[in-house]
Amino acid sequence: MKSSWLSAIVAFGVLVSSTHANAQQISAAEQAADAIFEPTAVERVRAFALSDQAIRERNLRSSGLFYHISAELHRDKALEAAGRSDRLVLVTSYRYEGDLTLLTFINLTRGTVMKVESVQHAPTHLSEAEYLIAREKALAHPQVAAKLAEFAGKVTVEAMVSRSPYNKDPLYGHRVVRLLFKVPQGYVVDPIVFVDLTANQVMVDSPSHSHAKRAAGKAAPTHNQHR
Amino acid sequence: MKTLLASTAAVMLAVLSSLPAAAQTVTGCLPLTPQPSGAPADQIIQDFPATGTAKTGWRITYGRAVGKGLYITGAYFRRTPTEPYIKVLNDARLADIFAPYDPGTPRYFDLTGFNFALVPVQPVDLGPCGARADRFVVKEVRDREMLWKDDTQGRRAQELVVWSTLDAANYNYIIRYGFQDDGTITFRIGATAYNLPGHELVAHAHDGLWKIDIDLNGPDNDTVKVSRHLQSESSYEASNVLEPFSGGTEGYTDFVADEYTELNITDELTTNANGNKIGYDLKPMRSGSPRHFEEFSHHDFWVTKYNSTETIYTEVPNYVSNQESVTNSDVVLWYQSSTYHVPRNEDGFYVTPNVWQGVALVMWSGFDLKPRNFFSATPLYP
Repeated sequence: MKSSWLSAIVAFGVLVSSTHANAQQISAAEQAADAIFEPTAVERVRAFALSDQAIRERNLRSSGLFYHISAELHRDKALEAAGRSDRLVLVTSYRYEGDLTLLTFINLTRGTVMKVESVQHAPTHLSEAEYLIAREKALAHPQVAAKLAEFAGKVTVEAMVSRSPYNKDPLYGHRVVRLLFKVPQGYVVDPIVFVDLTANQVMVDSPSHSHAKRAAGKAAPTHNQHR
Repeated sequence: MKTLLASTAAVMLAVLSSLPAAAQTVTGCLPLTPQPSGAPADQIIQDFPATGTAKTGWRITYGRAVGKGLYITGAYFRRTPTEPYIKVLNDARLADIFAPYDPGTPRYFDLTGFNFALVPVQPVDLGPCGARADRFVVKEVRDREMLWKDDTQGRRAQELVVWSTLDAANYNYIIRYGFQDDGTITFRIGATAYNLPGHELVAHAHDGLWKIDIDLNGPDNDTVKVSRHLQSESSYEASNVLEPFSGGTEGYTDFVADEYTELNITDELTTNANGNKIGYDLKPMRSGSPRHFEEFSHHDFWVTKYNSTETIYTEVPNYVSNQESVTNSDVVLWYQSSTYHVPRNEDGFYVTPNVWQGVALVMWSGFDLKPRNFFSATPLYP
């Protein structure tokens, strides 16, 4: 079971996080109960495979970066009304080209893909693989490394996707990750680090001038101030 | 002293004996109803009052997932011990949490912004009376002060609360649902923990973006209306009107403070003993109305016809564009609640020039779903 799950991670770059859930001891009963709430590891592998195939068949997979992000249980009233308790899974995937989120609705019981939807510029969380890339890039940046040097060995890196809603912002439609640096005493406030995974660029800012400036005459602020 | 105590106790007993039995104060923790053997792990049944003879009750199911938080997958209410449960909710959840900062950036979606997990239940979460529904979810029956008073008579109100904590990096969100003895459901999001590092003194909003699939006595035949209180400084008179939501089709409306804006949802086919359609009111709990650059935030209430593939709050303006009927239909409510957070000294301090320590105390927003003509008389009276 574990090896197949790990294989899926390698194959699809799916989300695996050192969450609190993983950190604690989980009993067999709790594991069994979890299947009520989330797809099992085996189901995830199957769902990602079905999603991958369906996306390719619909020519929605470009040659650029692409990640399967998550698999979650889903419901459909029409099926429930028909008295069917099929196991439904929604796979969320992300394609860098076009800032495209892909939603694959899967009936695992029947082994079929019910629908694939694509949504542009939608908030979509980060895969573990993307998080690791962003972290590596940020920590390798000389400015970041210098400012975190005093906390060596004590930093936990957290990540959030930051979005620009303004289509004139150079970062509009980019996969941008804000990294936070947690240390035993609290959070490090300087540097402020954004990683633009689409442009493969690390942006470093300092709180002293962050967000204090606003470009005159613009309809909305942009991420430029972080560069 | 002893005599005084004895006489006081005698008076209290005399008063209590004149009250309805269930109204007598319960000391200590209110008990959770024992769950049937073999019940699903995601189900909670709670009878009210929690002690004595049951009068009303809830049967709920919930879900939890990484990146989704805690959500409700079914809520059924029983108005009397002998009647069957009536479906109220098919699904209710935070579709997202939006946190834009005043300077315009950053702008985070705190539910979908990363693979944010729920925090395992800690002893402090349980307090003296809570219990684990599972390792991430707390359940507890609470006394919620008076349900009603009539001179010397009265009844204390009770509710089942189900809650969990979302670890959204520096922030935590408490996601809490309350199922009350009178059929009311409360939806709350509480923002707490660390202000955003590097922006710890920057004002920002925490918008709860709720999606509520309400199914009164089943999925179909529900109608949404807008309740407006019409008043004027130039008139002694005021009135209340119920209007079809967005003309009866998918769309939006806004909260108007001096109109006490609410949504009213009725089932067209089910009536109470008085012949009135059973319904629920969506009652906002708000200190302000968020308006951001993003289109989804330009309106407070949206209503769509149910579609199992419509899941993303930021897409709601697109979902309503085909203007399907939300009259005598299967409807979904989308509602934004908001907390505007201006940082204050009570949020924390700098332990060194470069490290911020301290947590913002919990700030709540949300709304209630309250029965209207669901009962044919005052519930839990006497």
